[in-house]
Amino acid sequence: MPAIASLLVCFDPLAVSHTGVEAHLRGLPTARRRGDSRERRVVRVPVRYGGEDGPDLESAAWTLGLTPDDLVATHTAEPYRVMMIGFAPGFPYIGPLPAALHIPRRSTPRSAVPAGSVAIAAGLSGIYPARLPGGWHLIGRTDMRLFDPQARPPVALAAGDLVQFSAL
Amino acid sequence: MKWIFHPLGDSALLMDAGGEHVDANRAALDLAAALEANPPP
Repeated sequence: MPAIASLLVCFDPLAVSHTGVEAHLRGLPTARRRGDSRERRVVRVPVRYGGEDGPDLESAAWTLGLTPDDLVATHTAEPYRVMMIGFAPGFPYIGPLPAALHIPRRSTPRSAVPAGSVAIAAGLSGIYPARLPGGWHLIGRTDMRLFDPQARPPVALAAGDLVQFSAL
Repeated sequence: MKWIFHPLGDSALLMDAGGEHVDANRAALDLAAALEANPPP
């Protein structure tokens, strides 16, 4: 399971030892490490920016020294990588965003963020898969369903996917 | 890229990468793909 800067490897200790797994990982061919086909999957995420769907768009933009239109233009300018899934089922950590969009988390988190909210904080973008507490700046909202326990796989995005946001 | 191995109990191994997070994340993703294609015997 990959995370932003680590990898968790689970295995059966009765079948293979720690040293055996470590030796195997260190011996994997370098060329194959560049062969992640999932990296090339581009997923388009349509977003309604601002207004009730993105109540922090204007304040975040002014904090960054941008206009709201500039913020949206930068957020939709290029595809960004899903660096990991975490926090809640299906929540993607997407980035790295350009320095122009680097903003700390809100000083006061919300106790409830609507499902589908698209947010930015700490150099990353995220999408809330369900109604959850959250401290990121909400800049828009998508109707894309990120987590469906009945679906296979249940999460719409995977680490390594590329996300291209687009403004509706 | 430098990996640090952390044996966790008797069932998992956590690997942290040093350096920039962008590069470390790419390395973690690539290594996960390589491991999936080449599981331990």
